[in-house]
Amino acid sequence: MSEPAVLGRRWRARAFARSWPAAIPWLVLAALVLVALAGPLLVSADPVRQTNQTLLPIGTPGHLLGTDDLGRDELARLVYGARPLLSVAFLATAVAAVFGTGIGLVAGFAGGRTEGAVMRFVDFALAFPSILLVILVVAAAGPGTVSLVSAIGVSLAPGLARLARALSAREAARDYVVAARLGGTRAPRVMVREILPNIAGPMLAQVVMTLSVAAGYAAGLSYLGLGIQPPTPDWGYMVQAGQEFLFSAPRLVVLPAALTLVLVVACNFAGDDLRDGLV
Amino acid sequence: MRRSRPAVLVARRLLAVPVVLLALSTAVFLAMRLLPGSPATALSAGGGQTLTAAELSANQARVSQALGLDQPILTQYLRFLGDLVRLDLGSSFYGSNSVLGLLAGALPATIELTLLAMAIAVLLGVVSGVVAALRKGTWIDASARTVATVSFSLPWFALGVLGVVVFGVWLRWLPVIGRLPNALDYHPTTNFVLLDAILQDRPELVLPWLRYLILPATTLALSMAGFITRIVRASVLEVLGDDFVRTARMKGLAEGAVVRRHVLRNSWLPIVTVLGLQFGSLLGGSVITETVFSYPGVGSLLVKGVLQRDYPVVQGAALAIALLFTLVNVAVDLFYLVLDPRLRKG
Repeated sequence: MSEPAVLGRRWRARAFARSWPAAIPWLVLAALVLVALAGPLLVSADPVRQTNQTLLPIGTPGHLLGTDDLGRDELARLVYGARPLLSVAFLATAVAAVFGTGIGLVAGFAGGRTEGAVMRFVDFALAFPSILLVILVVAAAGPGTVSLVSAIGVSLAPGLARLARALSAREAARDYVVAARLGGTRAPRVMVREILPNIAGPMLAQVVMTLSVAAGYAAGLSYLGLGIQPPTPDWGYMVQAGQEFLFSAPRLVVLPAALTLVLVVACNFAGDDLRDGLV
Repeated sequence: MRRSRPAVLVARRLLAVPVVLLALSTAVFLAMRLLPGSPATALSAGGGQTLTAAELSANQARVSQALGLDQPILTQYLRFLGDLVRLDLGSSFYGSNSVLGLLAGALPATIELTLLAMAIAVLLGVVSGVVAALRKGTWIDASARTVATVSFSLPWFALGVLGVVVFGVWLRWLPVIGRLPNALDYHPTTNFVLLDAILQDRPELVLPWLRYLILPATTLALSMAGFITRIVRASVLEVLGDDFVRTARMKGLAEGAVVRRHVLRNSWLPIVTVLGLQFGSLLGGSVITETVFSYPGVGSLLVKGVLQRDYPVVQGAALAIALLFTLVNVAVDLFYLVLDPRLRKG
């Protein structure tokens, strides 16, 4: 392991939540992930079983948050709904991170025409209404976790590629990279072993911000009826189904919509915090 | 290196439009045909009825033939381009409305929505960005930056629906869905309500139109406003340190005049850049926002088309959005030339 690469990993030291307000988004995210993972163990009600006790209000004994139009327990649906949304968001972000970092790393390292050509395409893809392509792809391929994850992931990759390009172009000019190359290390190894560890910190901050976009897209597609398919509970779809009861039971819309907002905003602040800690 | 003259630059930008449009329509064409799950399969699956395998494949063959999907892909592509050039976008599978006619009704609604959203975003973003920069380091600055962080990538559907609940259901200030009240007697000339209000001399159209538009437009505007706040704050802070601002102050200009005449004028360029970059996201957001508010624009046309597997409508709506996107980006490029004299001459 070469020395400079280790030096470059300063970012690991206390990079996040350095004050108590900054810890809040991390705690919220941790709580949501915990609910997604362990939630189904915590609630006893069945989120898909329909009963004739429809539209019970908040605070009904046995149904803390009431029931929906088909008599299903709202709390159970919210809790079970966290998992599909979070898994699509996390997986899509991972796809975007791998593709985006890879493309940006190669472009920034290679420089010259390769860089120019790649970045022209990336700039165009960034400006293009990517949700439109996601909708078309999911519509054509049919809804499902694989098409959702790949469509959202690919559409979010350009943003990460742009940052990875800028960062790795900067690193590629540094002495330790030049030294490694002069020492005969081959290009792929230099990229992965020397440059990647040194751009990983700022990239991570951007990845967390991307998670917020991915969560918004995933929930938005479910809202349109193109995401996770019913009867599997999902926050986006719950909002759409609840809109019919806007006046009689606004909570059916407010609760899942508010949770989606909380998730996105927590990601935003977490990403912001990480960036502050890393720069 | 010698810079090109403005006329050449303008011509080059305009010549790029058909090229970009060709690329975009090809992408739409391929997305509709190369991906698994062809329209024929989807269409022939029938609305909820269970069909036997034989019925299904007979249906598929019929639909394929009707759509020309049994032809070689190159033939299909040439026919698609030929139709496109003649502005023949086909007609909807449902009710056989021509797609062009549907777009003529929907496109103005979407343009109104996105333009108002942009205006709101610029207003909010410029005001909060300038104030934050002028009060740098105070709580005002801190809260403007917090709001900008909160607003990053807010999911439009959640925001829109919460707006509906607060302003439509709880406060009952604003209507919840649609573009104009049903009771209103509106016979579109151009389908741009504001324009029609002028052309038909009917000022009473304006207020209901605004009441319906303000909530979806604000929903769409908030994320963009956050971006603009950041950009304006940064560029105002940068310009404030420049010599010409010091000169303006030293010659005794009032602070307000300094900000208006010198600082803001130099912040317009980054704002226009953001508008161009963010317009794509705004158009994407309009697809979801229009659906939330049952607003009859291209976005809700697209979503309805997708859900009903109405492929000519999906294709037409996607092309319309791509066209709008391309034109706005060209307009932004041309706007640069107007705003920044440095780009005009060497």
